[in-house]
Amino acid sequence: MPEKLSVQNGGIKQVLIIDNNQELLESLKVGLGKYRAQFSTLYANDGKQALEILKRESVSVVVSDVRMPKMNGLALLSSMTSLYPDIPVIIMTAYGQDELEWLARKSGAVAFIGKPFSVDEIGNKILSLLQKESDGGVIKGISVGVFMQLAEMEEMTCTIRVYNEATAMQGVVFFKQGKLFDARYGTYGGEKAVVKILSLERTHIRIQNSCPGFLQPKIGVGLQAVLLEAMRLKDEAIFDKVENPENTVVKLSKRDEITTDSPKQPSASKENAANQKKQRPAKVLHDIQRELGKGFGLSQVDSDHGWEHTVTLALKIGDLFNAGRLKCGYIQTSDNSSNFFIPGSPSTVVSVDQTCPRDRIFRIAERID
Amino acid sequence: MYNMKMLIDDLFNVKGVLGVLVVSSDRSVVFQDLARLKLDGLKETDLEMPLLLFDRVEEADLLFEYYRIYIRKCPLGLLWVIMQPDASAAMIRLQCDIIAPKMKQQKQIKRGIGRLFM
Repeated sequence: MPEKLSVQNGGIKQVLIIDNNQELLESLKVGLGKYRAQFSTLYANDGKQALEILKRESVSVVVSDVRMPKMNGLALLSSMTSLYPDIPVIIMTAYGQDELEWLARKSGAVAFIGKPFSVDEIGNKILSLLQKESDGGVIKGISVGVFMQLAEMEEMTCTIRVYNEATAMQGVVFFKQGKLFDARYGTYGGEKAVVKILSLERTHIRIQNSCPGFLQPKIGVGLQAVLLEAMRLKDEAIFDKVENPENTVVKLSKRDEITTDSPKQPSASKENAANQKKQRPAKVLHDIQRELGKGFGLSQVDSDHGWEHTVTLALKIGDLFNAGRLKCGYIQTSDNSSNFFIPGSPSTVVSVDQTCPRDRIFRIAERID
Repeated sequence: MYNMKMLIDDLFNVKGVLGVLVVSSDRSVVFQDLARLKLDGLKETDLEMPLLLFDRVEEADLLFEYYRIYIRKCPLGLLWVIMQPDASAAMIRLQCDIIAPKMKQQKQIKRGIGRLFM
């Protein structure tokens, strides 16, 4: 979902524009003024000045020329990929500089704009990159530790931006296929940055569904180890701002685990359908135990005609939204019993405890269906 | 103070959420946003039969061919989230964990003197 660039999503974003051509900077300052509701602009005359600004300001996008004194655009790109890998860089080039473009792309530039360009051209490029920052959604009121555990369990590849409302500080964490890859918090990087980010309270978390391709893993330990370290440091009150330590690490129950999609099995032929129906509870049990192992909160699998009423009502719910065929369901009742069911005649019912990995059982049930 | 729209917006920020419905304990529709499902909106009478499921049920998660429907009891009544089948259900449940207590706060304010200041 595109981000609404507003205060609620972490304040107005800042864009840093770097060029030694003062006239160009002046005209951009005036022209980009019409985007002030979406982003504000900072300006630098060379790469060195830009790095100074990046040290003290939270910047979302950098737009840089290539040919500049002191530190040129390519040298700046190289520094940025190691110090600020989360900040996308747009390179301004003169037309016909293919080799330069190739070099810049190799160095980590995400977009190019050929000079001369219109204000709207560059404005739109910036907006599109800003929207990417939260193409995976924005989440509030959840501790960063909880979200990171979720990212690990879901095997997400993403860039997570954690924004603290009180201090206006932002930290960035990178996950590749659920593995904690790198992080940045101000000038901190790697594990130290993650620990700092975990200490943030009252945060917005913006999720970008991608991670820079050039990124190399800089965190050698697993997420749990980092979470424990962060908790230990909080307990020792090493950080300046610790407001609510118990919020940092919250264990997710096993039921929140999610796996990637599995390929569907071919549907059974009609001749075998009846036979398979009889064997379904045993197959469900076998598949769940094979994939999850024993002791995952699974207590019983059975065929049960008593579930027809529940299935009928569940079908009525689906009818309200034209949801199509009911594949499977999970029901937790007021007496705290929890069951999965695969509709049929009779339905297959899997009794579980509430800590079971619900989504993984869903995937298995969907395949069996 | 939270208003319903703000709370539900948080839910819509999770990728894959297509619709949200809040039904009060007395079975009236408190909030619905089903525009992404291209549905006009549900009436109380549409819900009579499906709501029978929730006499004893606290939470239901139903996977259909085209959508996944997550329904849970909350202090206000029932919170329904209609999502894409491959949406991040764990994140949506987590978001529901966050907003459900806030719906309670809203309910308390409405009943007390706070309603005068809403």
